[in-house]
Amino acid sequence: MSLLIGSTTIGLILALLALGIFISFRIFDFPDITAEGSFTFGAATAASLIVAGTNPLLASFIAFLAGMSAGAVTGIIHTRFNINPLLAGILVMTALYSVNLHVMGKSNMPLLSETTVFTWIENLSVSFSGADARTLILGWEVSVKDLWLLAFCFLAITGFGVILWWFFKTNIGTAMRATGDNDQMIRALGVNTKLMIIVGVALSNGFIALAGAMLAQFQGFADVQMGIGMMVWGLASVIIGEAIINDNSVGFVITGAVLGSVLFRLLVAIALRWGLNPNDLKIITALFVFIALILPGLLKNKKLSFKSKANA
Amino acid sequence: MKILKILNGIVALALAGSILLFSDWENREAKKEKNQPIAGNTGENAIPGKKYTIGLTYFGPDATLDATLAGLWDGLKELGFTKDSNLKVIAQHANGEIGNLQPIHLNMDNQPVDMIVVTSTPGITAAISAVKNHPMVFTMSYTPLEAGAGNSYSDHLPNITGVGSFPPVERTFNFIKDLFPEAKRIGTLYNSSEANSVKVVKTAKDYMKLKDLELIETTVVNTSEVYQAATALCMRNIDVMWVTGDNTALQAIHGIIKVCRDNKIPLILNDVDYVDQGALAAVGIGWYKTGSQTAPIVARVLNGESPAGIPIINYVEEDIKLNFEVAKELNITFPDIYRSIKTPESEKIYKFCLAHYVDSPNTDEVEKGIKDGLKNNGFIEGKNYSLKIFNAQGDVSTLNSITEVVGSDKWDLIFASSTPTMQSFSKKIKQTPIVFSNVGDPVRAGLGESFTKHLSNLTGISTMSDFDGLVNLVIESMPGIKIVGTIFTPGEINSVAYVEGLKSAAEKRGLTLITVPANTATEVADAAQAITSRGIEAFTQISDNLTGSCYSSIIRESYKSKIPYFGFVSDQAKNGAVAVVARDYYSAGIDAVELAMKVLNGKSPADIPFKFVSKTSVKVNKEAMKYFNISIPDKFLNQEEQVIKQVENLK
Repeated sequence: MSLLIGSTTIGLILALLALGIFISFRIFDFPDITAEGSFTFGAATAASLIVAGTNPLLASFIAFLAGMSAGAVTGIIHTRFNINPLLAGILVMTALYSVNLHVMGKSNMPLLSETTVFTWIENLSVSFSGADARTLILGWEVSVKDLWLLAFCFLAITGFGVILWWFFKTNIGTAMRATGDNDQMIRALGVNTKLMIIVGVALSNGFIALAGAMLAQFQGFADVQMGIGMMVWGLASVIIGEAIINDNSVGFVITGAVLGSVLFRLLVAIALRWGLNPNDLKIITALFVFIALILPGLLKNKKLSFKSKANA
Repeated sequence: MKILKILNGIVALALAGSILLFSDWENREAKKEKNQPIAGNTGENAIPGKKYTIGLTYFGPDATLDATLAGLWDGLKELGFTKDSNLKVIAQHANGEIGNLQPIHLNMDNQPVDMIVVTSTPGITAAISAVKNHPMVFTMSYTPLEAGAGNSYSDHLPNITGVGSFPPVERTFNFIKDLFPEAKRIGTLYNSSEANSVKVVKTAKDYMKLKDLELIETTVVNTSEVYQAATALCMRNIDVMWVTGDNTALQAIHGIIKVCRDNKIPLILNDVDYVDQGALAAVGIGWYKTGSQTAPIVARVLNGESPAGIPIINYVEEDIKLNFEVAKELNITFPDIYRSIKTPESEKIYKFCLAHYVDSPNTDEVEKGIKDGLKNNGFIEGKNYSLKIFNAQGDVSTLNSITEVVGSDKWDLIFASSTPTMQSFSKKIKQTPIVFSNVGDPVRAGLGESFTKHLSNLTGISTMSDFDGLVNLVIESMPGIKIVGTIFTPGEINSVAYVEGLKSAAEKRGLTLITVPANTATEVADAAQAITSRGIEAFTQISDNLTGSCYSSIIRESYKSKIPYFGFVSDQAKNGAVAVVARDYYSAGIDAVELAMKVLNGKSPADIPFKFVSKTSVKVNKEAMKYFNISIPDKFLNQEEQVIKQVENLK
């Protein structure tokens, strides 16, 4: 049970990453590789600030801004200098590696004895129900602290999801979505699409950096290599989410990204829990994702015998 | 109903969740973790703001003393006396000669100290006659009463008290009997003016009569006689050599070890801290604990209490340590009761796990070491233990999932390899003991304030390279060398720590270290070219994950530009490095198991200091030496075990 809770918590934290990826890949159709750099950038910024004594919430917010600035740079490189989006992302991601080393001053920064957002939540749990309080859920004994962490992550991610959903309903948000869908049309309506792309990619990387900042606080350290592979996982979460929810409206896609992220973590946990040969972990993960992608389609075909609908 | 579409997602989550819960079924009626509060010290605490001064006298620098003092300082720190902060220590030693003990105690008595900490039995004897003006507390002594400290533990001289630790003599000979049922003649040597040895040898003789053993003894007067005495003993047809905690003999233990190895005679000691140096085994005392037991007494005396009212205590934490390498040389197998852990719970299947962060040659070696270490200690996979292996394959999100999986299960002990794994584990897992290996600098990784004071549920092996050793080898092999260089990876915490370590070691010896960064495999070759153009006379290549796997491109460059390559990884010697000073990652696994055994035997990881990996070996490549026209002094070659003869098509 505590494994389920822990994995769900990680899934919710990484859902921030999925939301970021969702903005660039899905809203703007912008293949943004900056993610791998900005994820670490957020972690590094938050970690350094926390070690320097900054309030962890403020540090996380600054990490969000830091990620936005990185994304803005990618956006500007792409729109002003007409550089292919992939290449623009690669440039910024590569540069961020050095930036991150400078931000932390070293390649790995422990936060084990620092006060983080999660320490606050743990302290809150302690003040309500005591230091080592445990409770029974369906017969499993779980730590109350872990439940608090889960509840916090759930509320936070719900909050961010609602904000994002609201944002994409506003005028500027609608213009952004339109930029991704049909930029000629929206340009004809007098919207500056270049600005939209810059803001959008910035927003996307802000979320990704926030995910990095949160993960660093959760796991107790920031490492300059922690961003590697993150973009793929984020993308996988978004696509799994789309596959299982199967609806294109903004609210559903956002919900899907969160669900996808959590589901993905649960699948990894299952693969690990079954004690497979560690060398096979990645192929099993890939297999699980594949099944998660095709299963909803298969079920649908059987049940409703509708024409099969291709999923992205 | 559009909202129903979310149901799909919820169902998928519920499905995955229930699969996970199902695999977790056996943990359902989980028992409450036992939370044993650690007993608090009863000694008095330091008065804030007050400065204390301790005089410390000892026989000579040695491993036993280091362990005892580590325990003493840690114990005092807990009571508020922090060495070099509010506690000043004036130390003096007798250079390993009994004759010097009297003068150093006379001298110490005239120093401005609050009290004197006396170590070793001959130390007590000298102190009693020499020290008149200061209260004294002794430790690290087999037989304080024989040394003259008093008639009994409660009736003792008014100005001295302390902790005595009589060695487990009977157990030693039971052990020898179990190992060598045929053995009859046991040789020993000691200094007859050490009361401790005389008493132990007498006790031993009495017990040996019962066991049908004969003791062949030789006495020595000072350390210079030890080697000869040991040689003479070996000529007298002994089956086993036993050396107790005789200060004189231990000061010259290397000589005894060499003689025993040359004559293929097993050497059994009473001091576990010397086993690594080449004895077969030791049945003795864990001196760290003795040291920490002494701390409260020292604290009381520091706070003005008279030693007269404090009874002497006897404290022995028995400890058996085996050296499997020497056992192999002598072709000895330890009986199962000693190989297996000391409190075997019959039928119990131990559940271990081992987690790696990445796949690399080093982690493979560590894993092999851990498995072999477990085997050496009588563990058989599938029979009495299971080992589940995880590998995050370099991915931080997977690492977090692994942490959750490991954290949600129950283990007797967790092994963790590499820094990120350990950091992630230490954050989440607070109860289960964790033993790490393959962590370069555990303090910098945030696992503790120091090697002795660290997070309470973990301990482990640091694989920080032997920088001084390599720098020394380079300087002696290439006289007049001024500039050396290495490539490093700024993105790896270990790499940065290694560069700093190497830099300070080089600067200490007047060398300039040039460093060039590389971040990807392809950059390593470029970096190697760049660094050769900066006037370096030798590569002193550190080993991080990147350059550890791409070193061949650096070696290739070294041959092209005729700049010799020295490294820290044993493999590199046979692939073209002139010489390497290698921490042995296999030993890092073995060492981790040794710490794990202590934990399984009930010792708290909090009381087990971090350790450097025990084995460092020098390996040279004769072909490469010829190619670069370098001669490495013989003293390094003597240590080297393996001479590698071929260079693989590098030229």
